[in-house]
Amino acid sequence: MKAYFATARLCVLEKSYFGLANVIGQYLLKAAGVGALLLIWRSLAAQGADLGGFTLEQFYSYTLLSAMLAPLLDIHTPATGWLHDGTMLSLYLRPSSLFSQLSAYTVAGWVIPLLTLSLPLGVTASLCGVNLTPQSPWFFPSLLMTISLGFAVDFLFACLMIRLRNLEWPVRCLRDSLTAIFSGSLIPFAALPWNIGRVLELSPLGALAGAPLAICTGLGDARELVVAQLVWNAVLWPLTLLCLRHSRERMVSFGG
Amino acid sequence: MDNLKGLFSLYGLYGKMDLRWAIQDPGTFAMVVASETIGNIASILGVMLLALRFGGVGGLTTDEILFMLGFFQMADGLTFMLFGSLNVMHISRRVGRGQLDHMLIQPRPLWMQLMAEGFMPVSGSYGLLTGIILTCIACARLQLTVSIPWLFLLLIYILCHAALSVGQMYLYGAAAFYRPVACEEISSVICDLNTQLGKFPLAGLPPWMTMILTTLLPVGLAAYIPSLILLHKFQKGPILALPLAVAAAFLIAASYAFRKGLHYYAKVSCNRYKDMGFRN
Repeated sequence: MKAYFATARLCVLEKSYFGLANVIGQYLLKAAGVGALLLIWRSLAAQGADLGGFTLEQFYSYTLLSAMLAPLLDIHTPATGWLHDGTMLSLYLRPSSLFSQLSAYTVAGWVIPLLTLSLPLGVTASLCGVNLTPQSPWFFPSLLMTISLGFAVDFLFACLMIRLRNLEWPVRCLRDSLTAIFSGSLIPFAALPWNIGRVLELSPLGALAGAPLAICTGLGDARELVVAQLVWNAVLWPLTLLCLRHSRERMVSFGG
Repeated sequence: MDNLKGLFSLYGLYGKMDLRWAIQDPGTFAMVVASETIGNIASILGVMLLALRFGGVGGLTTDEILFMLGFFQMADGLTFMLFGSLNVMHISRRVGRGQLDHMLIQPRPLWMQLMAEGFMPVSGSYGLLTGIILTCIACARLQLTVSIPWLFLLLIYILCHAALSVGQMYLYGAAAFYRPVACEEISSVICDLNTQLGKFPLAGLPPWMTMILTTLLPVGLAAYIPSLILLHKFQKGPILALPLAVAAAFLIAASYAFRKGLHYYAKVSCNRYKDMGFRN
């Protein structure tokens, strides 16, 4: 555990590497994204749109929770970046397993955003009267399964990058675009047309952000979503381990 | 005249290099273009799906939203095609990483290199093409009368979008001359902010916020206001010239800040590379 915490401490310190300008910029970006979506929900309600039986407050809660829990809902380990910049090589020289180092860095990386963005956002939203209380106790196991599934999905994308000869940018671009829409982190599945949300919420990406957020805000059937998450965890983790084993020999790491 | 000739010969050179990459490594080329095309479409899908589900968003109908998104893709795609390569747009990376030194020893003026280096007419054209297709579909569905003056106006606003994007990234990116590590990614943050917010209709905002979002942080000029003008929702008035005026102001400010930063850089430089090849 000592090695784990030492690695985690390094990561927390590293988060300030790019300085205050970068941190403020990132927060500005997040605030702008959340503000734009809240504005859209408000304008839809003002134009009298049918919100599918859900309330405006549920959509507000969904968007705010999505921003607050963002690091946990879409897990980004440093695996792809480290493969690209050569850091991955040095992980094999340390007296700790690759998995534990990557997970320590990832989990420690949540500390600063959760403390400096999620907490103030949650407090402000609550003071403004937005209800962020989970509508079902299934939210907590669902969130844990999202985190577990998130690691599996991230490692699968790292394996894809190894297969694509370290093309970090296209893999990142593909991943970000797919997860933004199909994971439900941006728009609740309940707000999608033609009932495609029903299909997406049971998909592996939909089991990531969409499931805990829908359970928390009462926009989805908790039992059905948790079962889908269990199934995808059971399917994707063995697949991830298999892919990682096969990718090990193909790993090429360099700096530049 | 010589400068212009030199600039176009550089455009030709970078265009040829881009084409050769596509021919010599079609596999990688296809992967990059496919992933970026998917990324482009996915980035507008959110607003489009909402418009489809609710019959429009922010006072615009579904087809008008499609037009706005098409305009954004087209303008952003052109900007990316002209300046997207080699971090020319994300200039704070070049400056903050100390890579400007490589340019200062080239036998061409810096402005000429910056104008031409980012050009990628083959691998960087997917955004522009997607935008053209979306705009054509929207125009047909809206039964817009496309005339020569209208096309001229469209071109002007597309160029304004490019000038606004580049102007902002160079203005804020000049901070990397003074704080290379802290500000290395500042141009990317500005780029992401414009990309993220530029696609949203900004109706229903309080006037002071509309003022900020159309001047100091001009995301409203990225697509929303030009689209309203092109859709004839504003027929006359100073708003027609607003994108042009703000774009010019940003370009002038960026030019001043960048020159000032360059003078500072000439004295202190920036050396961040390790022996292994990567930066600290």
